[in-house]
Amino acid sequence: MTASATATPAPLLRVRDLRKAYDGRGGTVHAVSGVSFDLARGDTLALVGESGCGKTTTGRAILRLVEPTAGRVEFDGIDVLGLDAGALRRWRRRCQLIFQDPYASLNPRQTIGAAVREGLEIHHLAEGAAADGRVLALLEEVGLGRGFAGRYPHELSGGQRQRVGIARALAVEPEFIVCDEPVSALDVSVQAQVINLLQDLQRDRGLTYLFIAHDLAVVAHVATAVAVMYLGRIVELAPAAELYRTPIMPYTRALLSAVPVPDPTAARHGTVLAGDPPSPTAPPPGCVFHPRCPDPRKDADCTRSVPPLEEKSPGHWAACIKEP
Amino acid sequence: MTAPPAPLLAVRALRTTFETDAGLAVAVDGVSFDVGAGEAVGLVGESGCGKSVTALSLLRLVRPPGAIDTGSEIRFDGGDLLALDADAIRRVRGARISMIFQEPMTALNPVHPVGDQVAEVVRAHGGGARDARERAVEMLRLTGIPDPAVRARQYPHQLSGGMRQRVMIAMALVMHPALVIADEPTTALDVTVQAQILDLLADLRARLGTALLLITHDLGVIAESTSRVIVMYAGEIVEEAPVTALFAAPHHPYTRGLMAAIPRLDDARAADGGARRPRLADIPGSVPPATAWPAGCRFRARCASAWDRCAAEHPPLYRVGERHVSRCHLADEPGRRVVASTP
Repeated sequence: MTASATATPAPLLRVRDLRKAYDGRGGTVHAVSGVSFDLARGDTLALVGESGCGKTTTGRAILRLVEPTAGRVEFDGIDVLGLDAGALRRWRRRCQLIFQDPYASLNPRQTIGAAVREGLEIHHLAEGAAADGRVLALLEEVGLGRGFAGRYPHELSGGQRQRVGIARALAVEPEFIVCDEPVSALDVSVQAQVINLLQDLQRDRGLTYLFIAHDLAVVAHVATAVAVMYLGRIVELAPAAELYRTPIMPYTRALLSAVPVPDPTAARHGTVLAGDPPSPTAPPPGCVFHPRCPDPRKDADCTRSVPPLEEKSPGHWAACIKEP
Repeated sequence: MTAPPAPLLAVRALRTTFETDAGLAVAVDGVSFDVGAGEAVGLVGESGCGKSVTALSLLRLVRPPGAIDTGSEIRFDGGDLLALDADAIRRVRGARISMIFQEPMTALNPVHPVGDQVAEVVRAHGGGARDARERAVEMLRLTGIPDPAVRARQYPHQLSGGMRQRVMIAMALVMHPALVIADEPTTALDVTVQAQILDLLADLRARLGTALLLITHDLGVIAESTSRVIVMYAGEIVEEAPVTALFAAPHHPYTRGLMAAIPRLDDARAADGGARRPRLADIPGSVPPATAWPAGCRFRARCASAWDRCAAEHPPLYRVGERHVSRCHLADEPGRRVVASTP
């Protein structure tokens, strides 16, 4: 197939059957068990799920911050898992990571300006006065202003530190950013500021985001598509509006109904999911969600084999054998 | 006609300060509120607004360099908590008023079985060893922990985050206190487990008649779990109302800003295809430091409606509705409200 024969361009990021297993004391932990998705340039795919579902490991495995056990990651046609150390370093400039707690990644003795400058120097993008100018421009772009260059991390609020984290990520002119819970430690008013900033930057710079979050309401605001993960697998994947309007998986429906609604006159949440997610060292047989599944259609078939992620309607994928 | 019963908890002019390198931080600055017996009251605000220090002050858990000012008053069940000696306040803590913290892993002792830790609360208040053990297991059962007798012998690290929070709730409720103060009890939990824990708290409160002071930054949790809400900003109460009135007609620009900033599930449902969602309304700027509260209205630098009066005159709590008060001069001059246009 040639490029001109298809209306949709090749995705910027193509992930296929990505796996990451750790050997732990209690046996092998299958943190990521065969994750596949495409992400088009300029879009935001949200990875959502409860703690331990593998969403953070997936993001890090794509960037090879942890080495995947198996699978394939293609970025703009590059076979990422096949890159040697030098090529990997050059490729990494095109990708960045924003953390939940930027404080942990900032050196307390280094000024904000020096922290932002670091990436420019490591990748030989600018030096001397040119680098100084870039640093000040970046601080302005993220809404901090030039005055912050001489300040230290402890002088900043949580929201300001997250803006520093964003400025550091932008310094190397990336195309793709993995945002790992970037606003979950922030107060709601500051959270809104940072979400708006990330969206402005995406529009202005054509950035592509993999947005890892547990908060479905935040995700509702930023994502073009949403992948719901459970115990190392994607169990549902759909365009955002579609997923929020017509979720297929009982797990997705339970997640959505558990979100507290800021309206005291609204009906209380419907399904309260019982229990905790099972251990990734000993995942249950068949559908990994079946022990907690509240769906009346659940039966012995659900325990027999792992349901494949199938396209149930155009663009809407789900891993449930009870769903036609 | 009889006078209404005295509230279970009556806080008056509470002022809690901390000596810091940058000067005196007035974390809580003249806070007054009541909690009735069995009532669920929400205390909401952002980090640095003074809500957690308020909670610690109620239990006299503020340590130097922090101090509760003389002139503050905390009346509980008819007595004056600030007048109690160290022994007497210890008898109140855990038995009459108890607290649930955000992070059960740090609040639980890692080297003792969880059942012993629940039993220890009973022992500390004069219960015998055997009675304490039995009550601990019974309380763990009430919190929905399966096989409570087995779980009681396990250590915190052997339990999930949700289970640990259930243990914390068991510790808080085992003495059937009249008031539970819960400081961000579900913030560290997954949303599905949060829903379980909020349901559990509501169920146990209904059974035991416990009053709740729920401290959270999450207005969704407030809407689901409380009947009256107190909004704090910069060490002060800026708005207080029954929960339905607050959500139906928030008065203070800070409360309105908080509500507008909440991302909602409906934002995605309303969007068509890949279309961009509207920008979230944010509140510009951040909370000023507690060492330098601005004169006049403390919110005015972040407020679209602020005018010269807001700099000159510290607003009192105006009555704006039935049991609804707001610390904003707009109550006096409603025509000055600037309604932000949707971008």
